[in-house]
Amino acid sequence: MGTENSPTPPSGLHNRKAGLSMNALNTLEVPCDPQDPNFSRWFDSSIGPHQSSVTRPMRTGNQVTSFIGGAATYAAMGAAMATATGPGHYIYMLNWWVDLTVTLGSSTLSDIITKACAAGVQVRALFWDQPGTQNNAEAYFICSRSAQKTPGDGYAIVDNNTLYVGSHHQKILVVNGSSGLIAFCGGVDFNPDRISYLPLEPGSPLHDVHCRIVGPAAWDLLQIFVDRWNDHPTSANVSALRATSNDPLPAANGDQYVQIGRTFPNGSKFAGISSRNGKSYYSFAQYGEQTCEAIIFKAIAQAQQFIYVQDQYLQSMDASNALKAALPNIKKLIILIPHPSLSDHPNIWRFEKAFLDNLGYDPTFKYDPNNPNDPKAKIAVCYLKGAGLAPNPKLVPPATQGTYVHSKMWIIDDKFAVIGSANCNNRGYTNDSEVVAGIYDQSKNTPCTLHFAHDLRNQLWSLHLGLSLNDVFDPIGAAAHWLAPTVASGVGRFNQNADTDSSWAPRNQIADNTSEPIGN
Amino acid sequence: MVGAKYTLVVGGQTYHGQTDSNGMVSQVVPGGATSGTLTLDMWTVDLTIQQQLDPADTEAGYSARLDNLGYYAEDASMALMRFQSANDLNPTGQMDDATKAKLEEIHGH
Repeated sequence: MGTENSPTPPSGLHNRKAGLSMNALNTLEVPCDPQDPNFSRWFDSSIGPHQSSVTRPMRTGNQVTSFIGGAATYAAMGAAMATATGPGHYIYMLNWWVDLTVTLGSSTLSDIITKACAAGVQVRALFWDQPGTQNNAEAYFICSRSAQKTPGDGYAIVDNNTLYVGSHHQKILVVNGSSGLIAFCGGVDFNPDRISYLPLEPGSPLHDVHCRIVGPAAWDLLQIFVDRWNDHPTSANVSALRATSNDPLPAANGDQYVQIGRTFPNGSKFAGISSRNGKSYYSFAQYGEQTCEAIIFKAIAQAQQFIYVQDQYLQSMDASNALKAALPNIKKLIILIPHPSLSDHPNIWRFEKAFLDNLGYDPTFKYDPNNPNDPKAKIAVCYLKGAGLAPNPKLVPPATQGTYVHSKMWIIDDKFAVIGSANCNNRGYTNDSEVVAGIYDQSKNTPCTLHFAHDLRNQLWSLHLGLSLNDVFDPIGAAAHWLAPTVASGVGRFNQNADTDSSWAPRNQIADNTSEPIGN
Repeated sequence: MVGAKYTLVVGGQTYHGQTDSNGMVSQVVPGGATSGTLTLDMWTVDLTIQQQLDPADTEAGYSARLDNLGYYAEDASMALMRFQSANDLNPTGQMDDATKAKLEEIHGH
């Protein structure tokens, strides 16, 4: 499903009946998301344990649309790519994983690329050099469009220009076509496991969140591609990009304020990177960049009501400490993760236990009516129970089958949302290439205007909890359904003490541990 | 919602005004009125006016009050659970003295 910005609240809340008493005070709650008079507080990136040497700009006037799940994301991507129809237009991709057979709306990615190249659209891509052969044939396919089509202009690079233990994890699509610049970022790669059950992908189709940005912040996503492409040694042999760093910002297009954060490792300190000018670091980030982390940690520190996070790994102890510091200021902390039995991560039980124990999360906590403000009553950690399709019986114990949560997304106080590729771990915040969009909605301050973060949370909670949009409208109230999910709910309470890594069934070895280099 | 323009139609009369600094609508209405409509922007509420709402500790009574406060649910206990959660009360979904007192405090009797 897609979430347009500035929608109205659920109809049951803005058109309803009320019973009133005569000669008495009656209170009617009006659905409204007031503007934050101090909205700039969300965007200062002056904090963070690995503070970057740069601060990314906050852009006003964006139209941001969120997408829940692969099908909605791919349909929107397909529509955007269809606007690139001729010379002067371009399609740029940064991906961790690419499968050209994925259908984007009505056409496969391969058909879209073929058609675009044939029409003279410049197609450029940087795909991470995956272990094995994934992404190699896909890159070759794009390069071969130039040879087969006139005036074809496709080129893709299999990109291993990372730290020795790093990866390029960004998932960015930028299209410049008849509708101007349209950019996407989030957790969704071009992978059929986002829309289908795959026998070797436990918990598929994966739950994910992505977003589309139209407006000035789309330029910031474009610049990530421009930076990486122009710095890559291989790109020296390819015709120049149509986009440059001097391209003007797109015109204002909506009510969302957006700050794009980036993670790049510090090549000046750690080995593995080579830039086009012969340096051992990215020339656009000599000392690395950790503005993804800065945006997320800043938002955590601003929380006054609640924090809701969906994450694949939940391992950064810096993030755990940031959440721990925020707990006294908030009423609820709701965390959604995949069950570790689905995880591809070594030592996932150990890492998540450390993270949650540090917060004081007690999965056996029983509400004490004599102590209603017990901090333990603030925290709910859950996993998605329902896969919708049968899991792989070889890898998923029947008791823990569920849907794999792949999203990397934060919602704070229904005011600020972060959607991106950066997992809550050291790789996401310091080691790999990552991107996040921090989104604040400055839509009109009138009854029934529902702001971006609130609407996205509404849709996610309605989906996960199996409740109506009305039921989850109030975040603090609806948190009860995470703290005590019913049997019919789509979520279950996670117990970090229920198992250990000895029973973990490895799927592939994507390591992340505290011995990896961190930041500056 | 502070300073929002509203239109209240009740007892055959139409009243225009703005919500006060607490986001409240205060209006003396004709005695004997049994129904009306309150409109703020696109938000419309059909009003049913009684001499007195049912007591807050009855299902009809707390459901009506929770509805007014935006804790709408077909399942009254779910709505009550959310109200309790939002107000640092034990979220049992069952009415008790503390919940009744808080509900009357926030909504009015």
